[in-house]
Amino acid sequence: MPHRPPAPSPRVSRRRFLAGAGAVAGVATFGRAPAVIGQQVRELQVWHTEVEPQTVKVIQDTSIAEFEKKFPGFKVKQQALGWGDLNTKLLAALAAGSPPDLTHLNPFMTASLYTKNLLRPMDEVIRSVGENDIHEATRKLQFFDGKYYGITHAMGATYFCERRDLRVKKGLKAPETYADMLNLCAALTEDGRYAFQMPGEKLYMGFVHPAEWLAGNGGSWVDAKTWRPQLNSKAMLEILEYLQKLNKFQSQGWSGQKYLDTQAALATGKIAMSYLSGARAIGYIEKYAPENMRDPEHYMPMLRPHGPSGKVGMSALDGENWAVFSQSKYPNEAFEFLRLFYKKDYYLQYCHSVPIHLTPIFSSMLNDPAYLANERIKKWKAWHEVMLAGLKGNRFLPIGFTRPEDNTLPFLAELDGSSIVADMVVEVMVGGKNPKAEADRAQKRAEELLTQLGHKRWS
Amino acid sequence: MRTSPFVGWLLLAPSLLLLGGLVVFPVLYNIWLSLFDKHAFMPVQTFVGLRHYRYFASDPEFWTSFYYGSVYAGATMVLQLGVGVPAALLLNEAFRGRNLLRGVVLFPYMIPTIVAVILWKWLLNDSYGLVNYLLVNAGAVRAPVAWLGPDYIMTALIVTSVWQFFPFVVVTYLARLSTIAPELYEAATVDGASAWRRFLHVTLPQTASVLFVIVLLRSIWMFTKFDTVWLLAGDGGVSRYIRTLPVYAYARSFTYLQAGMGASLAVIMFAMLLVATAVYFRMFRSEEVFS
Amino acid sequence: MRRAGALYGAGLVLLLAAAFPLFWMLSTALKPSGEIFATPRFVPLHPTLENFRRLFADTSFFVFFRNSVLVAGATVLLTLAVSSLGAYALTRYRFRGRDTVAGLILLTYMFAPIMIIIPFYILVKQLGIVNTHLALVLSYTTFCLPFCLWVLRAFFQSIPLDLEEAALVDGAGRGRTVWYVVLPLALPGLIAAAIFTFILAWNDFLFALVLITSEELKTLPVGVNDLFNATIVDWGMIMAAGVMITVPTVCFFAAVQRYLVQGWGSGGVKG
Repeated sequence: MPHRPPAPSPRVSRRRFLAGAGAVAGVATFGRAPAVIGQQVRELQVWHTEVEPQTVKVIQDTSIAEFEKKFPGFKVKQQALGWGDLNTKLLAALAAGSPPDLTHLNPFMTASLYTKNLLRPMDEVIRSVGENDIHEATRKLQFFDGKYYGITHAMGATYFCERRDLRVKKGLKAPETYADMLNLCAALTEDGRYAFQMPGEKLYMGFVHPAEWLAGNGGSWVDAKTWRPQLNSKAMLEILEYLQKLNKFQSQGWSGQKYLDTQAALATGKIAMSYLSGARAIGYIEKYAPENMRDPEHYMPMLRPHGPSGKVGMSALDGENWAVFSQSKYPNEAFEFLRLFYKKDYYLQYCHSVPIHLTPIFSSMLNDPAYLANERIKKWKAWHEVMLAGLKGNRFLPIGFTRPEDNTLPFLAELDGSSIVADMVVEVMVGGKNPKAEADRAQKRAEELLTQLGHKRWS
Repeated sequence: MRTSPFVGWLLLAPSLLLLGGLVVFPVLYNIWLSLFDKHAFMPVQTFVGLRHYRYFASDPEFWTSFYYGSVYAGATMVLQLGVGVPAALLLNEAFRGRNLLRGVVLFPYMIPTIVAVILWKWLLNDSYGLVNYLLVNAGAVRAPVAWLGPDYIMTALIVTSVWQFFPFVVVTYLARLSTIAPELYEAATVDGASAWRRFLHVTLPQTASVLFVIVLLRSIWMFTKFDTVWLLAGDGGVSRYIRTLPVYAYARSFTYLQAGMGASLAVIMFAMLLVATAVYFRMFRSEEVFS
Repeated sequence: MRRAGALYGAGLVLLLAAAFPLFWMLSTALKPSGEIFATPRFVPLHPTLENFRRLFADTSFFVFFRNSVLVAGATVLLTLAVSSLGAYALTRYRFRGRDTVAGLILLTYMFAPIMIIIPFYILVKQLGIVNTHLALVLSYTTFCLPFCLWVLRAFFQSIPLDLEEAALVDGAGRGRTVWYVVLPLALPGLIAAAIFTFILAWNDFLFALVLITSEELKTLPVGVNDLFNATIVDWGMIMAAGVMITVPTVCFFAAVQRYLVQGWGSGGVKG
């Protein structure tokens, strides 16, 4: 769809008309217009998903401050959105014809928007911030047909967060395989404490984790050539059987609880491992765990085990990419803002606002003394090392990906939204249903969905 | 009084404009949309005729959500009457503090759904909830119950909804009760009828028409209830077990991003209500309900 | 005597059923976090306003609150204006199809928002008012109209025409007559309509969820739901938010409660 700037005159008259109607409402008595429709000031809208107040403040004080000094006519308006809200909000904004100028995107959304011609290439920005220094785990994720359509803001590994002290006491190694994991769980189950807990949100248990399971068991969402779903493949069936066994080691109410509940349960000693964790958990540990236990001797990341058909356990790399829409009003200013964002001094402060969770995307910075000279990174160095080990061992894939090539699939958002996979997982784990039957059902639904969406390539 | 039809229409115009523009037009547009394959947010659409309707006829998800929706609407309906009618009868008696109680009873109905839902989530919380604490202490259960887990989520939903909506039954029923002429009861009392028989032979016939309306409206509203259901399970995997038709319709449009299919679900729901209402009218009565 | 005992017993049960959950909300909101997760106590041992302080200091609650007041207030005024005009036309003017129109208006009462939310969204988008409070005000007004028109129609019908005619003969214009004679007499109806409208606008979740995307334009139900989803087990603060949302409704209601049963009885309520 070619981009047309909104024509001002009919819009104003319509607004007047509606405002006239609204005036009956006595809106005037409230002393202000009922709605913010358009802005007279030139405003650069920037959306991102780093909601921590300190992160918002750093962005405001560094890149935004300099940008506004450089471009006096502009105001930058940053909006920090909850991760789960991002997709819906963005699509709604796109539909309403007023997307932000610069935004975070989940990599699983990017392909979908790229194929609809909604994104702008940004090769120049990427070259100017140092193309070759960008870690290969993220560099080419938004590289389509020879051009870059996005750049990752920072990398955050996900993994289990375990009570290391409990496992050490049992003399057990970190699990390599599903079987190891089941043994570990059995050993860690004690009176009044469950071995682990998964987050109940569909987004996680029905999309993020299933992608990890498939990736760690030699499976994939769809066939690489035909895009036919692979939800009842051997890989998936093995996974489902494992999950059914695994489920005995967590609280039965888990599917009604949230990710944050699992973090709280870990910090307060109700579980020995939280299934989904990232370095953000450090913040919760430092706030909610007993005071003498707020350290890496007690709480440590643990990488995922792999399935019988896989070679190495995989987990999700949390890292949205910056993107600029083709409808963006001020694309050049958005690119300019990005250059400031990645300016070393500013970027370091950004990464330090939630240390380790926001790991820099530049290889040169990973062991840079300036980056490591942060109190929290010093104290939780072991967590940073898990991150480095995972990157080195290729054990991370972007959220929702089963293979690196999934970056070209334009239907992952819909697959997630349909809760087809989530239903399968819930029925098998919580409902105790037969894995084969549920997998077949999910397969049928997924085939129908892709057909309805016009992505059927198989026959 | 001298009046001109033109001014009459003019005064009515704002109402008609709003209702026509924002209700009738969307309803018609919805029917039209249900014949298309349309992405929720992208501007492209292709005509597919009745394909969505044929699809849903054999879609197990549809029938599951129809089942959950009917269980939910049926159970909450019966319980709202079961709690609301006796409560209204009580509030129709004379006793001290009656007016205060009449006011207080309305509170659950007046607070926002989000508050009702969060409040019940807190009461039913499996670790710290008051309900589990009381049950365990009374020895009714041995271990805390996962009320918001898959086995009991429907129960939790029904409890929350009944608590939230029974005051509607109270108010509406009470309004009619208070207009029953006292002579009718006096005659019955003289005849020596027990309280139960007085209810059966005087109250019930007198309030039949209001009961008719209550059942009709509440069934429709419970069958199309969205926010309570959606908010209780949130994004949780457990929402599988309370995915009623309105939630499924919403999901098709806003998370599957298939607006055309979402629209056809809305049309199907409306058709179901229309048929059910027609049958209901035919079964029980045909006139003077809304007079 | 036994009868009185039974009455009060039943009254007590009803009181507990309706009010206890709300009391528990208030009690939790006033507890320090240590007490919230300890053995439940009905009355806080060390009551504190700390939860409320956090709610206002650390979240956008105040913005949501202001938005809700604004939207609900504007909706009430617009609805009363539009439905008074309409109901007056339906009772005081003779024109062909008048009763049919009244019947059709009632029929629109049957459409639940969920059944038209998609085309509604598209329409609002076309009008260019998606993500504005105006969109919310218009949608709430529309969904309150059938009820309000019918309640006011019933009240206007019950006002004797002679009064109006007398005023007209005395030389008062039509507008003044309505303002000084009709509306005061229909006050209970106006109040019932206002309460109904206020509750709907104050409580709505679906329209606010779909039509509003900006953080600073969100109303309370959506804002509080976000808050609930984004906080880590801060039940004290969440309950404080619940209390804050409930208070205006309760006050509004307490002020005009005596008109309520009367007004509602004449039209039924939606929800």
